[in-house]
Amino acid sequence: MDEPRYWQPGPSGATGGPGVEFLGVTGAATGPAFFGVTGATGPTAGTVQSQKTHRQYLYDRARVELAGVSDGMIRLVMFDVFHEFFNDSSLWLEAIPGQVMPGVKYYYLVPGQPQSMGDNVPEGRIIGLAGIVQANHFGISADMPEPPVMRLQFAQSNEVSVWATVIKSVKIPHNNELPDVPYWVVNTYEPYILAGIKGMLQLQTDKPYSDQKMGQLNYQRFRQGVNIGRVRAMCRNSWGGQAWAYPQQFRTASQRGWGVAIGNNRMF
Amino acid sequence: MFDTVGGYIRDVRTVLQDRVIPYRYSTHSLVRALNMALMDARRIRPDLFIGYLDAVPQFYWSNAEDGAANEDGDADDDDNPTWQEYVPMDLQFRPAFVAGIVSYALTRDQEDIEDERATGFMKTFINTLTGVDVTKGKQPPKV
Repeated sequence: MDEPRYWQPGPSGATGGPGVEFLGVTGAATGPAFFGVTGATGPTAGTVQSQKTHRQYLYDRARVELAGVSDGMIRLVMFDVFHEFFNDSSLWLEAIPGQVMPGVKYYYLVPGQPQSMGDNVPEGRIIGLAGIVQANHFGISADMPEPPVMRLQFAQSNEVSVWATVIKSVKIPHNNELPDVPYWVVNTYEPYILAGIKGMLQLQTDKPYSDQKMGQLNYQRFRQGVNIGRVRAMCRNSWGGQAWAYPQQFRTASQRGWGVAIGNNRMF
Repeated sequence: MFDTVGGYIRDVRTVLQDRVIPYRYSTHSLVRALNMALMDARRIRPDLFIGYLDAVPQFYWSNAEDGAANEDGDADDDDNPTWQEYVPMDLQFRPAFVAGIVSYALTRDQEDIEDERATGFMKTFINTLTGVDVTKGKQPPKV
């Protein structure tokens, strides 16, 4: 009860109980063990700072290449492009550790947890559920009828440590800030995202930077990047890999007639 | 610097050749011209007013404040608080507002000769904001 809980059980959920416990490591402040490192301590909440240089680079490129465009319009279009990119590619994932409580089916997921795997910085906004697995990689059938509320198909009889992998998208920035996204996404997909920003701006009419032909070309290039990102996300950025799963008879959880369920950490 | 009301008006007076007190163009009329230019810009380029779309920045300067005695006794305008008020605008579009203010000031003149100059400054104002050359109403080149 004293430890912060990263999942908030729904109204019918149990209250109280111990803090999160996962991968044999007890205590919410302790991070997961990665690749044989036992008890690696995760960063403390609030100590992780997002980087700005990658977004500033995109911002400056657009300002330089599109004469006459206002800074405010670039910021708006940057949000539109990121929004479309993450919505359509589903490549911004965060695996949030938590406890499934006995008898509780609904969980309100909160992104941006320091103990999460994947992209927890920036916080972002949950738009979908990619799957939920126990620590031993057995899946639990669940869906997300309305983000960020996760619904289990069946209530568990015991308290179970799990990872819930959520799909995230960009949040609307405050005031004049640039939209915040994971730095590696810009590093990896910069040509496509820049093309998206330029394309969407060029497709506006009666502006000094209007250019229907180049706008269409740039927008198509952006959509190409969305497709590349989506395929890579399905393979979890593994080269030559394809979505892989145990044969069906090995599965212990069925998703027949239900929403998202996964049997391993490579497929959902 | 073109980031305050005073910054704009100081340069506008240079263009208008009106830097010696008593002024030909009263300060309150130039502040009103700035307000008009801002409202016009809101129509032409609303993206310049993101964050201010529902309340275009406007500035107030009464007739009585023109040339009023002030702290340093020079009857200048820079002691008025409005003089230092910030005018939110992207850097690259600030020169347009000098042309816009000058245009509105000249338009109010009774001198016929100023009409062409006012039109020219208005075109500069619009062209700088839109980046599109406005030729409608321009005089044909003399041959």
